[in-house]
Amino acid sequence: MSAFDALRIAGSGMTLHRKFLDAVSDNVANINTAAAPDQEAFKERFIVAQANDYGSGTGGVRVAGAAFGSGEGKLVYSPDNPLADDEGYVRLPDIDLGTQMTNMLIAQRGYQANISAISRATDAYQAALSLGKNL
Amino acid sequence: MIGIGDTTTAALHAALSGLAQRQRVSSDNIANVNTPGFLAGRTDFESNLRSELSSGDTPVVGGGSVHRSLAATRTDGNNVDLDSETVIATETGLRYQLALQALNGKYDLLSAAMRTQ
Amino acid sequence: MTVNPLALTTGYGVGVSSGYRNNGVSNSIPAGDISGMLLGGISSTGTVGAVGGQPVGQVARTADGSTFADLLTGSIGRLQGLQSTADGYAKQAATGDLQDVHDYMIAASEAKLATTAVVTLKNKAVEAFNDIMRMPV
Repeated sequence: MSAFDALRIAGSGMTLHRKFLDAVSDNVANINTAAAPDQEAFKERFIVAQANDYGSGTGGVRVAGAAFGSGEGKLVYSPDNPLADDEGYVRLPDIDLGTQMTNMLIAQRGYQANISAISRATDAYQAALSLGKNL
Repeated sequence: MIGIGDTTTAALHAALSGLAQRQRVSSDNIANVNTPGFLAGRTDFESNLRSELSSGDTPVVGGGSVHRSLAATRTDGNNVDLDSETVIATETGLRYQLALQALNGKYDLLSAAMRTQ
Repeated sequence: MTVNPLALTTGYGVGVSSGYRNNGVSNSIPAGDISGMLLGGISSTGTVGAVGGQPVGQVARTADGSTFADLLTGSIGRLQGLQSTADGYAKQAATGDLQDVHDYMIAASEAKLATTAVVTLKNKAVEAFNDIMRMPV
């Protein structure tokens, strides 16, 4: 543990929440991506977060990988779509816009909270640096 | 003269120039966050300083080295991570202040010892 | 680096002993402000020999038998310890291995205070000596 570990840990939190936000915007951008019924629909993307040395040691968080939702999606009747099959169905992703908007808020708040942790840690260190200034 | 220019002051001086170099490289990285093919720069003066201090030599000022980070790049070939650059810049600023305070403290001590009033 | 304030400016060695010559009046060493704080209080007074055969130059001692010279030497030794602690932390701060910022700040403040205290003592002692030397015999 070095003196400025709080900064590094909050920085890892910032990176994670930014990647979370990236995944959520990817999902929202592809919410209407159609596919032919015999192919997989666009799969919702999740970020797997993992704590670094949980309980002891370095601390912080990292992205352990990405996980994908189901590719089944939902069949929607849309006969004018060029990808539609003989019965007029296309496969759209099964992504709920409400959930994605909530996740966006969560990611934003998490990002801001980590930024505030960094600025508080910086203030604390600068206060420590003024110890004994008027001796 | 006694005490002026011993290993500790030289080590702090070396740390100050190393940290200033890191600050410059970090601003360079942030300025090039959207440049295709740009690899982030990383500096290192600590390993040189540590080995000089443990072997008892006087630390050399300006012994920091710059190398390119080999972290994963995005699709445009750029691998600058804005969040880590921000944290590195903040931490470097704080460590710079700490080293300045330490140097100040040493000089203060010397001048307090020389007072005759 | 260690600083020995006495050697630095006055040319005296460490340890100022005081042998007072007087005519039989008992002396009490003033246990004032900085001396008192730093040296833990001088609790007893010493009497110096009266006229008529008593040895002159007997030194005042505290309750546990140490003289002012011992106390001064002890505080200078402690000062060197404090300065090297602060130096060690400063080297750690330079290489980035410092665990807590306040460790260094506290050690540096203690070293500065101890240096100021010892230097003030030294200055007062030198002033007192000069005052005495100026006395017309």
